[in-house]
Amino acid sequence: MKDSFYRTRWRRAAGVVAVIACLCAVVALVSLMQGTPDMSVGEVLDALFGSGTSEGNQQFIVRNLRLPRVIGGVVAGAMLGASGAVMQDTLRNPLAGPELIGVSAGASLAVATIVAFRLPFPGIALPIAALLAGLATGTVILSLVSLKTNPMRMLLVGAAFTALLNALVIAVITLAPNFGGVSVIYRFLVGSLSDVQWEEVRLVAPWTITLLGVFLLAGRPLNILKLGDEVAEGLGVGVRRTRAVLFAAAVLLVAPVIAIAGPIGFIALVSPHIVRRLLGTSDARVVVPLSAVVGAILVLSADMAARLALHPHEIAVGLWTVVLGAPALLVLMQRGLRQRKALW
Amino acid sequence: MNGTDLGIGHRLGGSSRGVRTRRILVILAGLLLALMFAYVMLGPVLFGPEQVYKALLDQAEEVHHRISVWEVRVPRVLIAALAGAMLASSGAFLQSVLRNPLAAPATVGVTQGAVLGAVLALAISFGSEGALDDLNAFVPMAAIAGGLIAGGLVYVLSYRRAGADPIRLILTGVIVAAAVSSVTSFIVLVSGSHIDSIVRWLVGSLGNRTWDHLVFLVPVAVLILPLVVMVIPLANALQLGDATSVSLGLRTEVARVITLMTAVVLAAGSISVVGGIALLGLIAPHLARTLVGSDLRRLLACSALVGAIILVSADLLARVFSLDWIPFWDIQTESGSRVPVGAFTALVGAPFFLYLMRERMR
Repeated sequence: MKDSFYRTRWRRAAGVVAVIACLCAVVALVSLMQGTPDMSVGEVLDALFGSGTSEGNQQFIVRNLRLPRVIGGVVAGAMLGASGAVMQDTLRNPLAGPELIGVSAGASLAVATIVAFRLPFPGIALPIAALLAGLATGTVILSLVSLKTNPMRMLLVGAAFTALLNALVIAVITLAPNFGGVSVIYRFLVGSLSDVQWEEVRLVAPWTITLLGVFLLAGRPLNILKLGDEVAEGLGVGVRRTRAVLFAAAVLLVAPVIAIAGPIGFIALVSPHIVRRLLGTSDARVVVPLSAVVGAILVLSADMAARLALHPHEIAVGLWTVVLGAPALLVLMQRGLRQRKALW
Repeated sequence: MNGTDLGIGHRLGGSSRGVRTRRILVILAGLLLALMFAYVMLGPVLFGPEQVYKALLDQAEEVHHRISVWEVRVPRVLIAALAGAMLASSGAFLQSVLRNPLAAPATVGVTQGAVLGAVLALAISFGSEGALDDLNAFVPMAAIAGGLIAGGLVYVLSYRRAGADPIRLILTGVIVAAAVSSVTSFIVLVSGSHIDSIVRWLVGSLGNRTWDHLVFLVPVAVLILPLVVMVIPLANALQLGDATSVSLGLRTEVARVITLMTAVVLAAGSISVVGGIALLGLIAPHLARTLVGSDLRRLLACSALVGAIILVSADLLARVFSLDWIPFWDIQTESGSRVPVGAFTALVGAPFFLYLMRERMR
């Protein structure tokens, strides 16, 4: 049964991967073109790769203003998407995602506290602080709900915690000696790419190694965990330890994103579902990397909307993802309520 | 509706329980009054009890005593008490009817809806020159409308053939809350100016609240009171579960709609004057429940008192923090304004929240 079945499936997967990767490149190119001034494809390519032929001005805009933001968006989206896929499979909960189990909000609170009160941490420490806080809130919430309970319960507890943590974020920012205006609040509440420059990209760069590691190493254990705890134990996998390691890896993916861009919501929740739909499989070995690509596309398009929709004003990218993600969550939830058990 | 009494335990231990409840309520009321008095004493100028007393009776030695007592502190403390009580009773209703310890105005989207209404009204009225930020009655009206619309939306979205079951209601509420608050954020980001005042709405603040606000809050409270009293037995029956309340002869869906609507109006009314105070509507009913149990007749009175106490003491703390005659306390926000009370309820409420979650999730 192995040969033909797997061959068609992998062929479909390869097709989907190719299409999505092209789409990602196109979206990235388009978002390099958009803005003031609008540029043509040729101008952008020239500014990127050309030597000195294009106007210095355009070259500066593309290379130093737009490119870091696009790269930051791609990296953020990829890490979020992968993290969502890992979390959903690890916790065996289709509604799991860093934003729904409080990880994002906890990490964001830590970053907001450091930034708002100008605590003497070097920039490199920001992702680490985010990581620790994210792990802490995630652990607290997971200790409150057991994995066997209804996935809805985790959603509810996570939402209550997120509300609490967001209130604390607002409190911290209003109490800070130099209230930096509303854009600061939105960076820590919903996430925004407007502060991403080369420095920030350099900050996340080392962390993307986690992404590669997750791609290469997480697929098999995830697939086994999905079979259920008993089967996994029977196959010789230490369930508790594997689960803890994979959860930590998922938080590792999210932490640097929150440090540079804030808790951009719903990407991690939605991308794996889109991918599973497209591929017709939930094999983690393909779902995880592809979720990363889809996440990147989603973040880039949302950021374009953020920059262009209400033009003179820039809207935080996280707002768009919430507005688009909330209906998706509603649909997923309805399906979950109808089935009342495992959702895939 | 005496059939809704919670069973035999009530008949056997009823009288002693009643005495105990009454004692608790009296103690809480005394505490509230003491706190309110302390609140009036405290401020940039510290008054002795005697000066407050005289000022209240309009026999103050100096005019400015009377002004700062009557014009500033008394209305503000009354608003704090009333708004806290309303928010907490709303939370008590919601937790009982939705049969979920995490139900609260903020988790079912009512808070976010009301804040959206208020922010929308503020953003519109900023356009016209000279509109004092939150002093026009337009803002509270819009907040109440926003709260009602959000509540209605949640109900409609979770409605199925058989009605809206509680778990679906609260989950839909969570999601609608997220969506609505992001719409609020759009408005805030686009409206640009007057950020400070809008942010204080998001957090919840009692700064610059005067008699004008109280005049708005009181009629809402008075009008809703008979409805609250009427709804208590319905909510008591509903918290036994749908099956039981049907067998008690209740039309559950109608009862649920009426009760939820009462809760929404209570919450939205209070939010329309003080903004989205964090955690109060969630925590106060829990504290009250540990004191008097979950019969709504007792729970509601107790929640209201606890809510009032929490908000008054939180604002007391917030004021203490921004006094300049206390050394080492020079926390000032950028605009030089006082620390918003919502920031305080969030900070102080967080540990309580964690504790309650641990207890309740067992």
